[in-house]
Amino acid sequence: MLFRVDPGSAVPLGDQIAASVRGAIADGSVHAGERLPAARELAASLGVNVHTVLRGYQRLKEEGLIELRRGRGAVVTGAASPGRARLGEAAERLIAEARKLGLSDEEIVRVVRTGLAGR
Amino acid sequence: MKSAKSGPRSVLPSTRPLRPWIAVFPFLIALLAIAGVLNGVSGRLPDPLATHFGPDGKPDGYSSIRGFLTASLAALLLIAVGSGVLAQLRRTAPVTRWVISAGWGAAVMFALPVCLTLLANAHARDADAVRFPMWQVAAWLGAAVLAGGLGWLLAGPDTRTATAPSDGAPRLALAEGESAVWSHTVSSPLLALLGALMLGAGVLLGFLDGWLTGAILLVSALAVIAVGSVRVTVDRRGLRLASTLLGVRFRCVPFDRVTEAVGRQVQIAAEFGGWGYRVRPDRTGLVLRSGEGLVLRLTSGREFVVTVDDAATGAALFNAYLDRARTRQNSPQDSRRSPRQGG
Repeated sequence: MLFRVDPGSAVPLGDQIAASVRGAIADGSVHAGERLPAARELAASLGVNVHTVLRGYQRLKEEGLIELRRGRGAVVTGAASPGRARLGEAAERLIAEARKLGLSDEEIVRVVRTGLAGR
Repeated sequence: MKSAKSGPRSVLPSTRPLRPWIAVFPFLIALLAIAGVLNGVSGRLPDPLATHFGPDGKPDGYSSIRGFLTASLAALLLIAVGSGVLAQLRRTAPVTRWVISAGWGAAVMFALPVCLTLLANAHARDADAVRFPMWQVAAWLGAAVLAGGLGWLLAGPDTRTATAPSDGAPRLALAEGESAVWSHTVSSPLLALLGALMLGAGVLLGFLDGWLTGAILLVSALAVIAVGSVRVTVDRRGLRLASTLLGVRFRCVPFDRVTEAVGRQVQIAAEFGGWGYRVRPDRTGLVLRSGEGLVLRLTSGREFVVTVDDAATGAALFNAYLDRARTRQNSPQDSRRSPRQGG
């Protein structure tokens, strides 16, 4: 899979790393059970801090896309379907759009909750 | 080979027009030598000839003059034709020097004993009295090695000219300052299992048979396990191969050794004759299966091959970094510039 980080972008580097993995799961190039490179290795390859990579991995873990295990590193979970990854991408877009409009975190959550209340 | 215009190699044996003649020359000399000796000893040869000798130099095999000469000449011609053809083939172009060298060695290897046998026979009253002293065997082998060396020198280095520009090779678009990493694992459960079995056998033999056998088997087991599962990475430093099971990096190919990267289908049986980490005259590779592979064309004219999924993306990223490295090399004073497209 391909990791890309652009220090010139406004998006935090950790999020860019998470987005790379999410994108790869979404387009089917990375499957469940596949192991991501060790954080230390990836950090050295990208020329970024290990903590930056770990932040990205942590993000993916919270989205349920990967599991972080001591000794085994980061493994793509069985629940990480392309659809699930695309959902994460959609959420990213929603947040980016809302931020552009100057909405606060609280207001963004309210937008989603309002949408859910209608169902 | 550090010019910006490096591209896919095109190794042409025809760039050295004398080479086919150099390849065939020792065989002509060999034929002339046999003919000359034959002419010199004609009429003094016993029939049948003593043609095979034991370690004591006494004959233990005989054949008729006609049979001996026919077999010798046939063998010599066969090798001559083989050597000439191999030296002409495009496939063998990167190793033509070796082919020519081997041809020179083989010509002496086959022709000299024929001459020596004829001379030894000519000096004897009958075939049983023929002697073939051991020092002649040593001289014969030494002469073959010398001839091989002479052929190697005369053949000259294999010419490699980078001609076609690599502009056509696909590249990943990298923004200025952007860094990217392509990483994939490739594994062979069979090799890993083999390694584990060897490891077990090594420990067992270490107890039963002695530490040396055990140690040899253990080291081989580790080598097999190392290539059983490998993480292939292309990053700003080049191509890196690391064993996921042992956690050690065992191969790194930096950008300045590569002219171009491509993704292509690799047939491991035809190209490497098997699987594992394989070294051949014109290519080296970690090949665990047939199919998609990342191929680096090296400045030395050789290829480095890894069979791995999604190799095209890896090759595209490698080429993008190659462009960056070349731009920096050409203009070290403003190395922060964005990579220029093409060469």
